[in-house]
Amino acid sequence: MKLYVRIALCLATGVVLLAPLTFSDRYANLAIRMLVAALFASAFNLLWRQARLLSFGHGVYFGAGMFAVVHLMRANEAGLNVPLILVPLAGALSGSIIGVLCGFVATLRSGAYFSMITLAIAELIYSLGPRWQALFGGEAGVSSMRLPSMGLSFAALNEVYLIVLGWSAVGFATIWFFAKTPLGQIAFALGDNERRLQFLGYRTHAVKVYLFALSAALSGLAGGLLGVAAENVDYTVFGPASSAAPVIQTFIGGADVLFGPAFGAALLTGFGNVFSDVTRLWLLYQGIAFVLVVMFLPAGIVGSLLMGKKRPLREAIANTLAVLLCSASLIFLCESASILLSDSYSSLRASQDGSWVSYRLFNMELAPGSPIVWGLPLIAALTGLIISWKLKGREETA
Amino acid sequence: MSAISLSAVTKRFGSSEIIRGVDLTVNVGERHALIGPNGAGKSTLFNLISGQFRPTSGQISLNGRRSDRESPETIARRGVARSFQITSLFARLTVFDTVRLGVMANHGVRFCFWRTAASQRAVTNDVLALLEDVNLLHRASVLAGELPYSEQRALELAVTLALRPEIILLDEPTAGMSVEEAAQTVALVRRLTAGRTLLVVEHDMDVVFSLCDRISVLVHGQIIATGAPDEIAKDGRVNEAYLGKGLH
Repeated sequence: MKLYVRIALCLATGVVLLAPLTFSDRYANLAIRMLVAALFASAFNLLWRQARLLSFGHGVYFGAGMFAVVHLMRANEAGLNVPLILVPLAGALSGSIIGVLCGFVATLRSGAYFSMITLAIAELIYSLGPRWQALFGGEAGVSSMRLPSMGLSFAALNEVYLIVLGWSAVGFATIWFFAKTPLGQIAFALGDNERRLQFLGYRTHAVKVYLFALSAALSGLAGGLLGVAAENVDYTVFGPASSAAPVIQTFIGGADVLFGPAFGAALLTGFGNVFSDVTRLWLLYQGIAFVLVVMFLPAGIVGSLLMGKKRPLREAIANTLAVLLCSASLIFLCESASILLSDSYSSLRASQDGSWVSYRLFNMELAPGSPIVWGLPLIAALTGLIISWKLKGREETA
Repeated sequence: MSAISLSAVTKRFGSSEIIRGVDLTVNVGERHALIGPNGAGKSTLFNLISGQFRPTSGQISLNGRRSDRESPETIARRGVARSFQITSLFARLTVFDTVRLGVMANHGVRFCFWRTAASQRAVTNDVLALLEDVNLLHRASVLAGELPYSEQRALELAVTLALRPEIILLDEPTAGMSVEEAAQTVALVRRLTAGRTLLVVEHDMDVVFSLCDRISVLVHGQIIATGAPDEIAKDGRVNEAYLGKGLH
C-alpha cells in the first residue's frame, strides 16, 4: 500500500473512532455497544482462530465481567473508592478466574466435545441465575450508578465512551500481540496438529487452559465495559443469545483474519440497532445472512475481501447488484408474510368478509391480490439469480 | 546402560495381540533398524516407545528410566524425538515457524507471552542452521502444507532434530522417495544423527544395510532375530519369513 493511502486510512479510522465523543447518548450508546461486541467477538475468536476450539458458552465470561463490574460500582457507591477508569479491570479479573476454572474442564477435550462442555457450562450458569438472588439479583438484576471520577462526571455516555475506547484498544493490542508471542505460535500450531505438538514436548492441555483464560479475561473485560455503560445487568446475559452472538459475528466477519470478528460484530450490532426500529424480523435476516455467508463466503466478509482473487470492476458491480436484487425481494417477501400472517391482519380480513384487503409496507399501499405485488419481486429475484449464475459460468470457463 | 530397552512388552487391541512379547535392546550411540513385513507391528512398537500407546504388559526404559507409563510430552522432554510415517506437520505454519516450534521446545521457551517469537535471536539462529542442514533454507517462508512430499519429509526430520534428542525414532524416513532422494536423506540422517542413538523403521533394505549397525526383525509381533546386517542377511529364519520375498 502507498504511504499516503495508509496515512489517510489511519486518519479516517481515528476520526471514526473519536467521533462518538461528540455524540448524544443514543448514538454514543450504539458506538459503545459496537466496540464492546467487537472486543467480545475478537476475544472469542482467540480460541477458534488459534487453537480451533469453538466455544458455545462465551456469554458466561462476558456476563461474569458484567456482574463483577456492576457489583464493584455498588461497592463504590457504598464508599469504596476505585476510580471508574480502573473498574472494567474487575471484569477482566473475574472473567479470567471463571475462565481458568471452566477452561480447565472444557479443554480436557477438543473438537465437538469441547463445544458441548462449554455449552453445558453456559446452560448451568443460566439456570443458576434466577435462583441465586444475592449474586445475580433475580429477574430484576443488579443496578448501580457511575460515580464522578477524575474530574469527569461520567453522566453522559460520550464520556463513558472514552473509557470503552481506551480499554478496547488495550484489548485489541493484546490480541494482536499475543499472536506474535511464542505461546501464540504454539496455540496456532495446536489448532493444526495437537498430537504432533505433544511429541515436541509441549503440554497441550496447559496451552489450552492459558489460551482459554486469556480469551475469557478479554470477554470479561468487554462485559465489564458494557457493565460500566449500562449500569445494570441481569442473569439473561448468560443466555444462549449472548453466547451465540460472537459465533455468528465472527463467522460473518471472517474468523481467520485478525480483525474480521471485530468488523462482523460492529456491523451486525450497528445494523441490529438501526433495523430493530424498522422491522421485527432483524434476527431472521441475521440468521439468513449467517447461513448465506457460511455457504458462499466461508472466509467471511473481511476474509473474502482480503484473500479473494481480484475481480474486474464490472463483475464486482454485477455481483453487488445481484446480491441487492435478491436480498431486496427476500426482505419484501419476509415483511409481507409477517404482515399477512399476523393476527391483526386476519381479524381485519374477518371484518371485511374474508377478502384480501390491502396492507401498508414501506409507505406503500399494497393489494395482496395484485399480480404486480408478487410479480415484480419475483422478476427482481430471478434477475439477480441469473446475473450470479452467468458470473459463475464465466468464472468456470475462465 | 542401554538407550532403549524393552522387556516382555505386549500390546493388545481388543482381542488381537499386535505385539506378543518383545525384548529389544538398543545401545547408546547405536543405529538400529527395525524391519519386518507389513502388519508385523513396527509402527505399534514405535508408538509404544514414544508414549502414544501404553503397553498391555512388560516394561520399557529409555536411558535407564522406566517410561511406559509416561505421556508423550514427558518422554519428548527426556530427549526422545520421533518422526511420523504419515507426514504430520502444521498446515497453517510456514517452514520456518514449524522448525521454530521444535527449537523453542529445545530452548525451554513455552509459556512465554511477553515478547515476540521473532525477537529471540538464539532461537532464530538455530532455526536457520537447521534449515540449512536439511536444504530448506530457500523454502523458509512457504507453508508446510504446500511443500512437495520429499521436502515435507525433510521438514519432518528437521523438526525432530530440532529437539536435539539423545534418542531419535524415525518411522520410514525414505518412504515414497525416489532412489536419489532416499540416498540424500540417508546421507542427511547419517550426518545429523552422528553420536546419537537412532532407531529407524525402514522398508528399503539398501537404506537399512547402509545406515545401520544392527538390525532387529519383527514378525507377527515378535522379534525373531537381532544382529549385524551380514548376520541378518544369512539368517535362515529371517530369509524364510521376510527377506526371501523382500530382498531377492
